[in-house]
Amino acid sequence: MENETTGDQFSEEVEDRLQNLFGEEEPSEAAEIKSADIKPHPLRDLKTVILAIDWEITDEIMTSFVEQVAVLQGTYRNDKIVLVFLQLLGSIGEYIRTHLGKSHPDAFKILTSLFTELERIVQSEDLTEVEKKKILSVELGKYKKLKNQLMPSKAQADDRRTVTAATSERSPVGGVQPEIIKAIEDLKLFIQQELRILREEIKKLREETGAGQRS
Amino acid sequence: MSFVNPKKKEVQVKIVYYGPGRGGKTTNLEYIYDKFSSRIKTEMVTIKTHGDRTLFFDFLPFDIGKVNGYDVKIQLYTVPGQVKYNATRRLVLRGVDGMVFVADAMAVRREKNILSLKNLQENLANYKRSIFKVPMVLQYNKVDLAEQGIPILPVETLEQDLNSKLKTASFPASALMGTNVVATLKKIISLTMASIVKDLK
Repeated sequence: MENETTGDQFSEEVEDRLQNLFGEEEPSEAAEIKSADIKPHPLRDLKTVILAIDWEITDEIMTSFVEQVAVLQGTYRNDKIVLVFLQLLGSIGEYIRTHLGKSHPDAFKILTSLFTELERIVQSEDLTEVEKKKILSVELGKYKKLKNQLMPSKAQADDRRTVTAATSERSPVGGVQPEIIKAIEDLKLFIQQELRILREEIKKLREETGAGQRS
Repeated sequence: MSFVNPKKKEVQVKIVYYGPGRGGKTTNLEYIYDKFSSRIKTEMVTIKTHGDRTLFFDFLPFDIGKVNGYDVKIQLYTVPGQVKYNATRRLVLRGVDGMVFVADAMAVRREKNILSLKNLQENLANYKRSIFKVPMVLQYNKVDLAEQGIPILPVETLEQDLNSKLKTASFPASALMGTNVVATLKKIISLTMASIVKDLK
């Protein structure tokens, strides 16, 4: 760009363009973020753990998650709906703790969805029992779907383990440790899972692109 | 570096949102897209997998109109925050004009922020760029969580950890609620545009 305007004029021009584009609708931009009015959050500790779950899921964080769920199960022992939510969270938490990075991609999604809805139920004073049950039923559906998805892969993994064990008993591969074979098997499973997700993504993108071109 | 086309009187500005995983980079872009899609009239491209994680990057292009007779086209990118996707992060940084570093204000993420900023410095150095010379704005995201009693780092600590040497503009923000998302964006565009003009003089 040539230097046709002074620095101040240029800045004003940029500001003007940005104001045109992002002005007016700016919601509470000027509003300062309050930290003084701290309301006690009934699920605070569990929420802290959930928000701290990083992409590289660690055993430490998942152990802390399962512990927090157990504490809340005691606190909410008389609230059946909340208790079911906590049991589902505990179950998925245990699953992720065991499988860590190899967990089913939907497991983390369902965990966060369960927590979001649990938070809504615990915090809202307007929800009726019927509405709460409806929310629980939707979440339960998601949980069952995941469980069904996990069943066949577990059976397949068990089959594979049996085959591997039988093979290694018959003809031990010259000096190769069984744990190395197991690690390779796990890696294979992981790569297959990654490829499946990528295929799904590509398919979805193709469909979206197709839909975009048609519309 | 920015792409300036004197013939078409057009300038393309690349701004990258960088930061640790799950810090709110994508949420920033999503907020901008959701709130202003009727004005920016473009599509946001995003590729997610594994529980909504950014696998490659998000991309949001838009025009801000004419400045100094030139059509200014802004391209916003995010990088995947996961440590293992450094190659993708490095690739996205190629030709960057301005950076927004989205730090996670949660106390448990303090170390991740510092590591991510260090990673940014290394990746920029790979392109022979200095972190101190690329226009940058810091955003301390998720400060709204303090209202729920979740431990949040004081702004002074974040400033000391991340901005003591950079000494650049910074905003406490909530990308989810939109607080200071636009302020951050406006600031980085202004700084980047000023830097481009300075470089061209």
